[in-house]
Formats: sequence, structure tokens, C-alpha cells
Amino acid sequence: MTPRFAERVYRALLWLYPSEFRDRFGDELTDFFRDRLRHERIDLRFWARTVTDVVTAATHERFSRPRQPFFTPRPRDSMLTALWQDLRFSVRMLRKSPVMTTIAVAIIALGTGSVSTIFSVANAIVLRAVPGVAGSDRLAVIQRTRRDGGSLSASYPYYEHLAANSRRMSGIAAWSMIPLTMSAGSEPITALGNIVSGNYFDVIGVKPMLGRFFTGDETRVRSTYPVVVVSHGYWERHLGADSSVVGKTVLVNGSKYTVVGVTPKGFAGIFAVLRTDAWVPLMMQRELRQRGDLSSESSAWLEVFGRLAPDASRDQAQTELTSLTNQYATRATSGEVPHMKQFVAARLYNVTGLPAEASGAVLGFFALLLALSALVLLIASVNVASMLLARAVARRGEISVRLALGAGPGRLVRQLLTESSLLFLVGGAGGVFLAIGGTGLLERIHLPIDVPLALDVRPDGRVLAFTLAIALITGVVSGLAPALQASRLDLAVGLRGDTAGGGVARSRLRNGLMIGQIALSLVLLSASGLFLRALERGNHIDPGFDASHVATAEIDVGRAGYDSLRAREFYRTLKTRLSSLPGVADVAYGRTLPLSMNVSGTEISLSGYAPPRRAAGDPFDVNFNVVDDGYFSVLRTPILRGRAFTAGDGPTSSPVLVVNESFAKLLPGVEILGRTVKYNNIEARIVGVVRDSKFARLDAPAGAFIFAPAMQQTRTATNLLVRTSGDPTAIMPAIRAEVRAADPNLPAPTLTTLEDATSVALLPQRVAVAVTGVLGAAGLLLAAIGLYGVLSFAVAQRTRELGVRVALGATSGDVLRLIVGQGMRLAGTGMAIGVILALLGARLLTPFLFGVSPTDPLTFLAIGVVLTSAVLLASYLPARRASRADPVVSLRA
Amino acid sequence: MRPEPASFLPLRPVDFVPLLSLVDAEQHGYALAREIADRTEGVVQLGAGNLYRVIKRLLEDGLVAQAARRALPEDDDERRVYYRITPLGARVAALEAQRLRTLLASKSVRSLAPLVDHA
Repeated sequence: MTPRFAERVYRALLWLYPSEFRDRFGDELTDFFRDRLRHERIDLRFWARTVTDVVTAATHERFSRPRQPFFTPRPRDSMLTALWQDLRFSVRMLRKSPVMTTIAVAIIALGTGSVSTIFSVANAIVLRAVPGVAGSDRLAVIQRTRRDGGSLSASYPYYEHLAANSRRMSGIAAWSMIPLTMSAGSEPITALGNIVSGNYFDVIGVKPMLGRFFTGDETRVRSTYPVVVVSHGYWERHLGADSSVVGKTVLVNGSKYTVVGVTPKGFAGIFAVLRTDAWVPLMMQRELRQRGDLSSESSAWLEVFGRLAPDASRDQAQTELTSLTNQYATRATSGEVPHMKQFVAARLYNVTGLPAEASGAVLGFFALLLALSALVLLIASVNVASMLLARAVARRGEISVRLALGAGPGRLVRQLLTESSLLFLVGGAGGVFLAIGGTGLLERIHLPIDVPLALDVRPDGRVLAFTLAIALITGVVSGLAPALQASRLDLAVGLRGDTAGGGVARSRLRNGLMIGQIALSLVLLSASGLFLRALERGNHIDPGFDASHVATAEIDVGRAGYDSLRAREFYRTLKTRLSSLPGVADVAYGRTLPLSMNVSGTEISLSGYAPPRRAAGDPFDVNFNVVDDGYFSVLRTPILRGRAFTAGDGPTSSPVLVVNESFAKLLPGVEILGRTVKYNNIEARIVGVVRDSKFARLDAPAGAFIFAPAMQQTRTATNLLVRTSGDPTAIMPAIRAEVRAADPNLPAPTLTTLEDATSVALLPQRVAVAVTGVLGAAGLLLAAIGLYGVLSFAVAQRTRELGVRVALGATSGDVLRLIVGQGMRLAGTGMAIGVILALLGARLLTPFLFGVSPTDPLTFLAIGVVLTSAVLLASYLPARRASRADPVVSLRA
Repeated sequence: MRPEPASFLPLRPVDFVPLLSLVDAEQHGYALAREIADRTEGVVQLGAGNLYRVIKRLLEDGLVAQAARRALPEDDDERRVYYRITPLGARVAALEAQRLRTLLASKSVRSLAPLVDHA
């Protein structure tokens, strides 16, 4: 850097000083700097010292109280006394203008309320510590992962391998979700259970409220100890909160289980978002689950988590578990070998109450919503900032008097900042109340999923602290510009009491703030518009089946003690009974419902087909469902070639399969009918091809799919599908009664319409439309109010000028056009900036849009129309007032 | 009204040291800053801005005054503003020195001496 350039930089820095200091010492300061250039090394420290010096000296010069040399100095107020004075004065000032205070508080409450509502939900789902879990920062979910990042649950042997060999974890536990049928002397209910390893509660670090958890042989010996631990909630609801419940028996899946303990209130296991009712020991796996087996290496059904050993770090544990996973892959004996080779690492995740693989996506979605709600807060702050700016003009007289009496600019800025912070804190408190109401509304949104949620989204201390913190920060930030401007007041002008002509800089700042508000509200509206379009697009995607007029319920007779033979008989009888109900057109069963967040797959091999990068006949994964002979006709899925299943495809006839179009295309140009598929040690012949339909996701094809006939499978759980001629909800009580009549030991099924059950595929879009719709409306309202305020103020300031115009012959139409034109110019600039911001930001929404372009012209056109109308309305009102003013009166003003 | 020199006491070190530095000779800004740093063994290092805040205060109180602008000793082309101590400034500095002397003569200061590490 040349000395000349350095000197120019320094000269620029001098602008930080107040002008009189700069005028008096500017040349000498530069001389001083030139001497330093000559004598010192010019490096980073040189510049650091320079900048520090300029900034500290300039700050002191600007904000220190002017010296009063030959008077006895008044003792300086202590910080606290000053703050107390400021606060008292602020309260007085805010109470003096109740209308402006009320409006500002309402606006801030709207802004902070929207942010903290979203934050409350995110807090409840992913941030809050799992209830009842001790030291959750030392707990970690363990997942084995493939090279491509994919992960898989654990088999029991894999879990045992980790648990037995890990030294970096003080304990590793395993669990799986398991639906149970439980009854305590009354009508059986479907309960959500967890089947857990013996050390599960120890690793979590929870203590029983009553009785004990699993011990001794219960955790080691298979199929011998039917014991159950129930949740506090279940104990209250179904066991009469009986304190002597330990030792009594309840029926679990039709068998007697002894209650050994009750968990403390609030504890819901590791996956705390769901309401867990009961815990049963892993050793009772064979009795409680139909599928899989503890010694099987190929059935991966367990979730694993552990507690870090006291001296171990997360990284050490991850390294150790990774090497154990690799060791297991080479050692594994049978089924898992080809599969296990792919798993090269173990990863640790935080315990958040959500499954590890879901929490990332959920967090992302909430970050998006949080960002959108932050925009509302931003608009609100900008809005209030321009109100404060306008008020600073009105208070010019008062401020001048205080400056003239010797108040330092620093003291004045502090006073004004105290006022705006107080305003925002009161608004923030209002925002907390709004959040309480808002989360209450959110809790009432019906989620189309058949599991009970245990989500407490009400704001807690963390939300309160968060809201007040953002209120305080936004209060200081948005009070800063108005306060600094006020402190730079020209005393001569201020004391004259002249309120006309606000100064160019001042009105430029106000206009800038207005433009910002319009731009931000356009961004918000574009988000809600795009989500609305996506929802509409999603509703019009043809899923490949007809979900209307279908009632559905999940039934598992295995949980009432049925084996597969009796289950088949039961389902056949139930079908006959239901078919004879009036209003029932058709009845079918299917193991997995499409678009219901459930997927199931299986590994198969197809003769003559080589999966990508593998040899012909090698196994590969396809989607898999077990359905009966009525399934395709109830869902109106057309059979393209061959046939659907018939009553003849029974347990004794030769195994058959139906495949979808995508599967048939695996072997192009070859007739797929009659070919053989090998899966689960069964060789089945393909007898039919059905049209593709959506399965896991609405916006992606289902891929290759095989359907197996229910009569040739041994599963006891299924979904009932009833096509009705009229409204499916009207017939639900009759269906429920028929199921109960068929076997009183079964819990009453929870019936929904298939439309509701499949609507979960559009859940993110529906939530986003609801949330962004409210946020967008709030943003638009705030921007309109802001514009109205700015123009009203401008009209008031220009009263005399407008009077002159009218006196010189301007018509009221001219005045109207002048004011509305001013509003439209601001709005136009804001909208142009907003469109650019929205186009940049809309990319973030792409994953949720079902192919609607983030630059969708229709959306932006519609938003333009809405925003322009709001702007026209907001500027018309003050313009009309101006045009009707009597020039005689306004000239005298 | 002539201000009483005693009304300035006690003098803040950041005002006292520059006054002392000007007793023997007139100084320009940079030289004064260097001298202050030397006299305080580097404890007080004033940058230009903070030095001129002190100078401004001392000027306003009448303790120092501007001398004539003159050439730097090492370079004839460059000219600098020099500062000198005023008679009032000299009396204030003398009173402050007297005050400090009295203070330092006390027995408790002597008994503190062993605590200073001379190594």
C-alpha cells in the first residue's frame, strides 16, 4: 500500500469524527498519521491500532456529555439510576400517545407472535430435551450406514455384537415400536408399545414411578416372562391410577402379562413425539411380533441407541462403532452377509425425540417456515421504525429543549432506545400470548396419521426467552436509526417549532423503509402463492387409484392370539358379513395402504434380469404389497394384461404374483406373464400386470412393484378397504360394529376414509399453505398500514404546499393523482425489489412444489394484482383527505 | 474569572503526563505521543484521535497552548503544529507533582516496595 493511498484511507476514516472536531484537528491528525507512516511498519497491527483509535475517540467525542468546565460537575448518574429514569420517562412518553403505542404494540406482537409460534413447534419436535431422559447430551442414536449414506435398522445379532464389544459406550440399548392390543378388564384398545432390551431404562437413565423395570431373567430368557411396564398416561386412563397396580395382570395381545412398573409422568421413550403406552421385554418377541426372529440376521427391525462412557468423546465412540460394524460385516454368517457388506460405518445422532433420518428433513422444513415468519417480524420492525421516525419529527420541540438544557446526544440516544426497546418488549409479551393462541390452533389441526401424538407445542421458558430476546434485539435495531437522526437535530430549527419540511435525508430513510416493507411482503406472498399452487397441483396428480368413497381401517387379529390359519378364516367371514351391509359396494384387504407414509419392500430375483451393475438373476429390491382378490377392483386400478387374483389363488394352489407396468418394463420386449420371481424362498409365477400407481410419494413414480395374494401369505395384520356407494363416513359405525361382533376380543378399529389416509402425502404443502397464508396476509396488512401511515404523514407535512397548488388552480383530481402517484412509485420500486428477492429465494421451495416452477408467472401475476390493489387502497385514503382540504384552511396552517 | 490552579487537582494521569512532556520543550503531536509512551514505559500509548481529545481538553482548560507552526527537525519541507505548556499549566503540574510527592512519602508506600518484582 502506498503512503498516499494509506493517507486517503485515513482521511476517509476521519469522517467518523463530529464535524467540529474534524474541522479543528483534521489536518493535525493527518500530520500525526504521516509521522506514523514514516516511523512505523505498516502492517495489519498498524491498521488495527489506527481503526481502534479512530473508532474509540470518535465514539467518545460524539457521545460523551459536553464538558462544563468551570462549574462544579454534577455527580454522574449511575448506570442503573439512568436506566430507571429512562424507563420511567419512556412509560410516560408511551402513555402520552396511546393510539400510536397500541398500534405499534399490536404490530410487534403480530411479528414476534408469528416467529415464536413456529419456533414453539420446532422447539417441541426437535429442540426440547426428551422428557424424562437424564443427561440427554451423552445419549446418541446409533445407525449403520452405507457408503451412499443410506442407513438400516439393526438386527438382534448386530445389536448384540455392538452391545457386547463396545467400550466407548457405557451401555447400548435396542427397541422397536410395536402395536399392542391391551385390555385391563374392559374393552380392548390398540396401544402403542415399545419392545425393549433389558437395559433400555438404565441407558436412558429413568427411574420407575411405581414398581420396577425389567430385571434378571426377564432380560435374558426367551418366551418365559410375560411382564409389562405401563406409561403414566395408560396407568391413569385405564388402570384407575391404582397405586397398588404392581403385580396385577393385564391382557396384552390376548395373553396375561404382569404389570411390574409404571414410568414417571411425561416419559415417552426415545421417540417422544408419539404417545407410548407400554413397554415389553425383547425376550417376548416371538409371542408379540409375528415376523422375524431374534436370532435372524436378515430381519432388521431394531433401533439402537447408547450412552457415551464417561471418558469417551462422540468421535471416539463413532470410530469404535464403525470398526465394530465392519467387523460384523465380515463375521456375519448367513442372511445378512451380502447385505451387510454394504454397511461400512456407524453414525451417531442426537436424541431429539424424532427418528434420526427424519429430524434433518423436519428441521429443514421448520427452518424454511421460521425464515418466512422472520420476514413478518422484519416487516413489523420496519413498520414500527418508520412510526418512530415520524414521531421523532413530532417530538422535535421536546428534544431540542432537552438538548439545549444540556442533555448529551449519548444520553438522548439511550433514552430513545429505551423507549423503542420497551415498546418491543411489551409487543414481545403480546407475541408470546399470540403464540399460545397460535399453537393452540395448530394443535387442533387434524393429522391424518393413525398414531397418537404426544406433542406439547405450548410455549415454554425457552420460547419465552427466545421471543423476548428477539423483541429486545429488534427493538434496539429498529430504534437506532430514528434515535440517531433525532440526536443530530439542528437546535435553531427545532426550537422554532417548525414541523414542515422534514429534511431530505429523513424522508429518504422513511421511503426506503416503506420500499423494504413492500418488497418483503411480496416475498412472503410469493411463498404462500407457490405453496397454494403446489397444493392444487398435488390434488390434481392422478395417483393411479380412486380413493373416493373408500373407508379403511387397520386390523391385526394376530394381536388377539390368532395364527395365520384362523386369521384367514376370520377375514373371510368378516368380508362376507361386511359385503351384506347396505351401502357397501365392495370389500378388500391390502397389507400396506398407498400414500400413507408406509412403504414395504422385499428382495427378489427375476430370471433373465440383471439388476444395475450386477449379474443376471442377482437379487434386487422391489416394492411389495400383500393384497386379496378384491384389492384392484376396490381401488379401481386397471388390469392391463393377464388377470387379477381370484378366490382360486389359495394356500394350496401354486404361488402367483401380479406386477405393475414399471416391473414389466424391466425386461423390455419380453412377455413378462408366466415368468418366475423368487422371493422369501417362494417361487411365484407372474399372472397379471396392473397400471402403475403412486405409492410412497405423490411426486415420484412408484417404481417396480409386486403384489402377492393374501391367501398365500401368513401375515395376520392387514388394512380393510370398504368401497361404499354413498358417504363412507356414514357407514363407519356399522363397519365397526361388524368387526366387534365378529370377535369381541378385538379392539374397535379406527376407521378413516382412504382420502384422509392418503392426504398425508400432501401434509407439508397443506401446513405450508396454512402457515404462509396467515403470514402473507399479516405481512400484506402491515405493509398496507405502513404505506397508509407514510402517505398520511406526507400529506400532513405538505398541507401548505398542496394548499398553494389548489389555490393556483390544481383540481382535486390533480391532488389525488399526486398523492396516489407517490404511493405507487414507492410500491412499484418495492415490488421490483421484492420480485428479485422472491426469485432468488424461491429455489429453496423447489422440493415442496411438485414441479410448479418457482418462477411460476401466474403466481407472480396474481400477487402483483393483490399487492397493487392493497397499495391503491392504502394511498387512496390519505389522497382523498388531501384533495378535499379547503385551501384557505391549509394555507393558514 | 481566573481559574484557581488547585481546582484542577487531582489531575488525571492522562492529562498529567502530557503536561510533564511539554515542560522541557515544545512538541508536535506525534513526538508528544512518543514521549508519553516513553515516560510511562509503554503503559499509555495514545493514538492520534485519543491524543487530540486530550489536547482539546487541555486547550479548553488553558493548560496548554498552540505554539507557532514550524518545520520538523529532520525534514525542512514538512511543517507541524507545536504545543507548549502555559504558565497556568505549569503551576497545575507543579501542584500535582507536590501532591503526588506527599502521597508517595507515606510509610505505607515504602512498606509496599518489596512487592514489586525488580527482576
